[in-house]
Amino acid sequence: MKRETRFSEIKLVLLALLVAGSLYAMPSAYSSRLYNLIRDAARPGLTLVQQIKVWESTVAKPDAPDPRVEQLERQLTETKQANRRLELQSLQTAEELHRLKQTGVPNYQTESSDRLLVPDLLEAQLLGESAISLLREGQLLNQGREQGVFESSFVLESDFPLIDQGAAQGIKTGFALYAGQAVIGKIDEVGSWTSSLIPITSVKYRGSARIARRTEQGLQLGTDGILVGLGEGRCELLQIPPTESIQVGQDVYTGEVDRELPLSMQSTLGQPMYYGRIIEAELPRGAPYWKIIIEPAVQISDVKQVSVLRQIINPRRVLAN
Amino acid sequence: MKLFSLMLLGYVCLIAQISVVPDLSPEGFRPNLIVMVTGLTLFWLRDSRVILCGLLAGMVCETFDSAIPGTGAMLLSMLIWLAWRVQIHFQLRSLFSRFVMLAFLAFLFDSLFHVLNRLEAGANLIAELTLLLPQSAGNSLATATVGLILLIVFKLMPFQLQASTSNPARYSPQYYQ
Repeated sequence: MKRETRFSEIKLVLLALLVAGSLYAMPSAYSSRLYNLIRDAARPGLTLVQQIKVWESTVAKPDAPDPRVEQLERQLTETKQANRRLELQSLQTAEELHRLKQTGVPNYQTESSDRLLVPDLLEAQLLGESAISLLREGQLLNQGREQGVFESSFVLESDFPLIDQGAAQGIKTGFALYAGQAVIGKIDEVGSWTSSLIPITSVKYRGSARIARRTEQGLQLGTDGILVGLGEGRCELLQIPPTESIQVGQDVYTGEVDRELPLSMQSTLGQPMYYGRIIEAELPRGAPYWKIIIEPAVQISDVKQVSVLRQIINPRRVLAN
Repeated sequence: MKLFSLMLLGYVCLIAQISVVPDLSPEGFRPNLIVMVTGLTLFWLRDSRVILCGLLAGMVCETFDSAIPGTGAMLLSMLIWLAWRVQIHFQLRSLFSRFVMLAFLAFLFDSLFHVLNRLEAGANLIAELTLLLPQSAGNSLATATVGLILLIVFKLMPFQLQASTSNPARYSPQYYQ
């Protein structure tokens, strides 16, 4: 009995050594089969644990978000928008005051008059992929050909997003597009029925912009710079001199004069519009300008409806004549 | 039945080792539940089949550690064989002696397994050992503690998993001399 047990023990030890040696010596293609078998054996248990973890996470998660949170978030958004409106009003008043200080107040009473050109915001829908592909396939063209709709009526070759307003509605190249008070981009090509737009994050976009600083006297706008798209959901503000005080988190608005556009295309809104917020600001040693990266307030993918800014003759003046 | 129960426990411990242990101790010492089950098999099975269990457990360890093939199987089967001889010789039965045995087994396996798999480090191996040994010691203590808890839990349970000690000849140190 004693000898038999010792013999079987030695046999098992030799077997273990043989198996280990074989595993070491055999090509990895064969040994990996054995390891894969062990991994496969563990898979059902691991799947079960994974399912339990998923179930736990779904149970732990509340079914619906707290309505109070939603309400507070809505209130916060509304308050932010109201603040921005008030800041812009204060900016306009401050600029008017500055101008009056420079020119002086006239001694005689002046009568206010209506402007000849007034801003007019035209609502436009962004065309989705399905609508564009329908246009490309000609399914819509075939239906409209009898009414005089041809392929040249659309801007289908452009890679930029399309809006459903074109030359027929008085749209021209370079017109600015807004979503609320935020700048979205500007018109690139104009077809009869549709137009393409350059988003502010596109590398083709250039526009005038300035930074708003919070001071003791309120919000003050800085020097005009040039805002260019970087192509990855970010913009860069160029030509801001080192004398400007720049901080991350400051807001960026449209510039006083857009040097990229002819005077006839300048904004007639009479108030700065919002580009976004500074997320990076760096003044490299010896550099002539700041390096400023801006995160746009609104991405083009977030909106379905935009407003195109155009100029029209004041209807009151027309009626008065 | 006992072997089947141990295999089932081994499977549960393998799943826990892969999916639960890393979450419970992301930065600290991790118990090696595979080595712990092999140790429990050594205490409860008390025959030469434990060498086969060590061989299988070693293969499982090297599978999930992406180690050099054969190192885990060779190391754990040899360590278990030595531990089995020690257990028979000293008739280890108390909780304390089993705790120490588990701690030594886990420490030797953990450190030697890593040394074997980092032999290519050459001269840097000595420097790595200074970091490796405290980690292995902590891991082995964690392993022995979990093993001790399981031993106590099974002791309190109504059924008997341990080997019958009614035959004193089985524990005689002269038996295998």
